[in-house]
Amino acid sequence: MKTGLFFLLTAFCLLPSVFAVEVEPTRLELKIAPGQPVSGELQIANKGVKPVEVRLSTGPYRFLDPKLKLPSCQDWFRFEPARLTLAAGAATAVAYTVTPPKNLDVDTAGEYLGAILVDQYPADQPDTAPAAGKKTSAKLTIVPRLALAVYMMVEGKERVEVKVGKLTAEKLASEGGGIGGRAAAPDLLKMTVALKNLGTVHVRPSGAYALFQEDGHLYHAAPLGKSMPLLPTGSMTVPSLLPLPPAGRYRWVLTVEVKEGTVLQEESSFEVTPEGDVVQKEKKG
Amino acid sequence: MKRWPLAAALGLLGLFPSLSFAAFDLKYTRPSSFDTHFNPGESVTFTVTIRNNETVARFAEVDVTLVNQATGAELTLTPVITATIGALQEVTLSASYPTVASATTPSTVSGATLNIPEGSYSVSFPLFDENGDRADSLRGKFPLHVGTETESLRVFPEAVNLGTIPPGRYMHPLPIEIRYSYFQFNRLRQDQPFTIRIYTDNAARYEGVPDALAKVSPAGLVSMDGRFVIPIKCWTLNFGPDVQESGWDGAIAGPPPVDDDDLWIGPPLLEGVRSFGSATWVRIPDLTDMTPNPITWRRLIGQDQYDNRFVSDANVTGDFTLRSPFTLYLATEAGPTAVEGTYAANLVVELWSP
Repeated sequence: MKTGLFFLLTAFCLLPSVFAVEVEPTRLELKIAPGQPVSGELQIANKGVKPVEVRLSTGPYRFLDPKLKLPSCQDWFRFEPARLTLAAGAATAVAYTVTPPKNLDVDTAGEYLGAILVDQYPADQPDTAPAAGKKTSAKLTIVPRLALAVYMMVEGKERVEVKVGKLTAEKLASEGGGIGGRAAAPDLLKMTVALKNLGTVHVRPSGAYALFQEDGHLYHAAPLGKSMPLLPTGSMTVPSLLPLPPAGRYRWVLTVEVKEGTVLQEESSFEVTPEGDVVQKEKKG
Repeated sequence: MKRWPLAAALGLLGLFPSLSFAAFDLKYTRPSSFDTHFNPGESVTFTVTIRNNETVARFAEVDVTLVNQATGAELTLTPVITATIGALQEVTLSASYPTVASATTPSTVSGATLNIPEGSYSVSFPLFDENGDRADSLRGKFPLHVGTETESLRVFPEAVNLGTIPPGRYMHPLPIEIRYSYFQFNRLRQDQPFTIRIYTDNAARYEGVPDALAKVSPAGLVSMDGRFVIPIKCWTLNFGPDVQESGWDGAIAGPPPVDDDDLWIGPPLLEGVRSFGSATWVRIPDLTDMTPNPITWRRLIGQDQYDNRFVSDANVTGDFTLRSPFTLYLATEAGPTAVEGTYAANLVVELWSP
């Protein structure tokens, strides 16, 4: 009996979901000045087949290295309307106004972070009141929430400065392999670059690396970068893997674009020995 | 007398090596190169480098082969890449193919195609010689995705009446279906990281017992008077050790039993301690329990190619995604200190991307 109920409920839940909200843009990156409000719009669409109630609010930025102490802008937002009902297939614009405090220029921070929370509730709330008369009963409201990242850069205080740290090359020996007659996985070359943000605003560094053989021929080139923002005072390492190249000396040239028009270049060299080891060459001077 | 035909055959093979079954010595010398994320209408360029180790020039053909990860349909892109490579020479070959919206071309049909329909594909590059024998093969490091940017999240059902909560551990048989759609990429055409996390948002409901020495976490179901909580645990396929370690194959058998301490609390270690981090049923925290450090979160799924947190012997890439839709189960534990009454909670399923 219990098994039958279980499968019945499972089948019930495999019905298509009844609502789904999409929001554009999916993140905000704005420039602000002390005491001067900034306005904009969020486009909200109900792509589902039932009406949905949308509630907007703000919260702290979600993803931070605990060592970073970055100020929040979550209290600066006002939405109009902050609560709305969208019919199936309907779309609307919600206006937002960001009012930074007037004494912002007293602070040394160049960037404030936060999150816009877009919650979805069914417009016609089903009756889920706990059963009366039962000893211990409970109801649960499940809220899908889209959390949009917010980055507020203070005009005049944005300073982009990224330091490219040490470039390291090392061998990653393959583990095992050869199971069931399959060829063992090749050894890998792991090249890592460390980046540190010394500026006051976040950057999304991207770039490319090129690996040259001793005779100057290009051996391999590939894009390099992470999608995570490099927040002020933060650091990140960006690894890149490729099959271990043949024995020889290599020069590794890294180009990083920290923002449009600002390019950094670093290089390093290493040797792959005939035994398959990777020996990093120390930089002279 | 009988030895003559065999000797003649061997002689012919020596004179005409192309009659032998072994392919010519053509090898890939570098990893393949291609960007991985595209919108319909853009073109994908594939680049491979081949070395001819033979002492005469040889013809080489590269078939860029895509396998749709959802349907399993195999597509070979045409025109195929061909070249004649000089003796002991190395060449780099490239070819571009346009992508199209899925409505334009059926993506479930296998065969040769001029363009790449919307979808997610694994990529391989079989290399053939002039006799059509396979000389080498190469696989793309990451799958190829063609699609339109989207970010949405649905949960069904949206409200659950858990009914009467029995004493002890109890799994509620109602599965919660989480359906998401996420396709965003950066200017390097790499996946944008995202995570779907779960928590209760009970700060406004919970007050705690007056004059209590310490307030407990409001995570779980909160009594209507705001004084008591009943913790909730959850399970998806991502949670718990693999079947070799736990003995429970969630992919086949579904949610694990709640009355097994190894699965509910964690497997035993030495001296009576348990490995709480290896429990298959995991606690749902409250928003107030979490910090911006993701180690304090309860992530249902996530995507970040540089996040090594979920790497293990059984999951060498640290993959923490589940195909949409995936199913979540909830369980309660009304212990000996649980207080009679009616309870409620807001359970938030949050999609976050930086």
